[in-house]
Amino acid sequence: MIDSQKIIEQLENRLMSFGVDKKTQNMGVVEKITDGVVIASGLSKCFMGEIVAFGNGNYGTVLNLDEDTVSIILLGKEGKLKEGDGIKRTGKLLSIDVADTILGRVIDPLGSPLDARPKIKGARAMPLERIAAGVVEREPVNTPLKTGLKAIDAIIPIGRGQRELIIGDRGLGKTAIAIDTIINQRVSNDVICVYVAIGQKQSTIAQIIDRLKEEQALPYTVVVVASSSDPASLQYLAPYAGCAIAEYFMEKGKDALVIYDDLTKHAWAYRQLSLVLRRPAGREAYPGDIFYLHSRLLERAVKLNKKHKGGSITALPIIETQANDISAYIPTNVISITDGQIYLEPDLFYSGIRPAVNVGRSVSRVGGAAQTSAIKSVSGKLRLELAQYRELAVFAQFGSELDATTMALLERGKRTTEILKQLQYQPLKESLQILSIWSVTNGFLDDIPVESTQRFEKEYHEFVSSRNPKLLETLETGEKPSEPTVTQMEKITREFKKIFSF
Amino acid sequence: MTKKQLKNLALQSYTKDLLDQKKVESVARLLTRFQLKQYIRELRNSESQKTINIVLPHLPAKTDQQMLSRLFAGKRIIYHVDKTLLLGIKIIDNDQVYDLNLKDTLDNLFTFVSSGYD
Repeated sequence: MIDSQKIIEQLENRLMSFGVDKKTQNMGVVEKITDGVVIASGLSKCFMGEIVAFGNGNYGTVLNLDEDTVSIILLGKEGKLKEGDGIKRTGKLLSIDVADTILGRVIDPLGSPLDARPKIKGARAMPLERIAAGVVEREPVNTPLKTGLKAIDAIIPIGRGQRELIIGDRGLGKTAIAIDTIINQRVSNDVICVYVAIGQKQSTIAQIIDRLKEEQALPYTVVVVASSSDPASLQYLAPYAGCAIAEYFMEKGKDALVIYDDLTKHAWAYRQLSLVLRRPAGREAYPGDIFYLHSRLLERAVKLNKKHKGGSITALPIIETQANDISAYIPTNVISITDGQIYLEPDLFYSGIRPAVNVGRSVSRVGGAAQTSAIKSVSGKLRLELAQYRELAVFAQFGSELDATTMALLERGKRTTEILKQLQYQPLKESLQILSIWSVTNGFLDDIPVESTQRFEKEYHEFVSSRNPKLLETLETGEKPSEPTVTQMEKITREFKKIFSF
Repeated sequence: MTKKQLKNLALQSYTKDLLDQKKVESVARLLTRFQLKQYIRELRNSESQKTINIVLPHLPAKTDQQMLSRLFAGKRIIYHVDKTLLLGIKIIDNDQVYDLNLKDTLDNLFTFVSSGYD
């Protein structure tokens, strides 16, 4: 039973802050509505990007200032808006209310809850558009962001504050890599994750949210949704909303991870808006500032120095290619902005290599700076062996007679490729990744059949976890394995091999 | 005919600051349908820039009217009566609205309080 006295007290407190001067207003009138864009007359004093309010309770943002008219994109459905309706200025730029309680929530780009729970209270208004941190405020990326995927953590390591693009055709596991990365943050529990769904099916988004709940990843994640049924304006704003949420936590000294899934649809939404706004169309009908659309977003991923509390935002933008074409307009734009890419190939996917990462064409420009000494010590050999295998695999297809060394390299390469496969939603701790990679690069799997490699790995992990958990703790520290540690690893691997049957 | 030319045409349709019906009719006969729409829009914009609409809960006294005429010299003032304003005045100068009335204050108060609750 709500106490009436409490209600009165609340009202009085609320009224204390009333005093907004709304005596003078600059009004506008709706002249034309086309595809979510309103052309209005009046509003002579409004500024670019300002939020305006319509008579039917809807809101919009000003995107074009012409001589006699103003173009406004609607932030929501058209509703009962008609020609002649009044428009009021609000004097505010687009922002989203963020508080610590936003974690675990599913919201739209304007901050409205979509998970049938109350609005975010006690929030700070974070601007959607913001200039990225300057050079002086930054420091080099030096802390790993562990995805839990061997192929990525060992060969294409991602650091906190980096932008790493995930690129590939549809259905190759781009979102799967992103979700596995979010799930893996459960281990360290010091990374806030923001998943921005742009232009996706609502059923897909619902599945992702369910999976995050199941894996207990939702408590440290925020999901920003602008599905395919939402207006292009919301799809355009969604990534900026996600970044604004991440900036809130970064300013408190925390590390945040933002996943933009995907920026291709974001570009399509912006193209739609620009064409309706009658802006000049360039290549592939994209507007002239399509590069700036993504560059200003991704530049906000940053690693701040200690003076600015040392927080970071890591960005994992996703781009969907058509027929493997990474030389198309939007992919090349985003590749040139990011600090590396994870390239997924359909041939690898359909041959059973999942995650289907083409390690030859993938790169991380941060590299070893984003790896612990432990994994760096094993990944160098791994990279080399894989490169050699890729070169020699072509010859093996011709069925020509090969010498023993070449055969050995090929066999090693097959086992290395096999060990890099990983099931979805099963990210691995770094210690187990080190064990797997170390064992294959040191020849312990050379006498194991290729088809038994994955079973070997699984049982090997269980064996070590039960027999020598301290070894895993030592590896987990991130220090390069010392001589005694390596001896322990050799001993326990030999012990396991004696009991492993294939 | 460009938009700017139509705008100039609209500005030239005035004689001694009042819209000249003969000029408007002669211009209208020469324009296409689309140009005519644009011309009408420019005339409407021009009229709204030259006119002030003042809304009051009752008709103002002559002294008040004189004071308002001096305040908005050079513009045509049209008075409207709207008893729902309760007290005060509302002045509409093209796209600028000066809401100095009790109704507006109460509306703003209601919006402010209700926006704080789900």
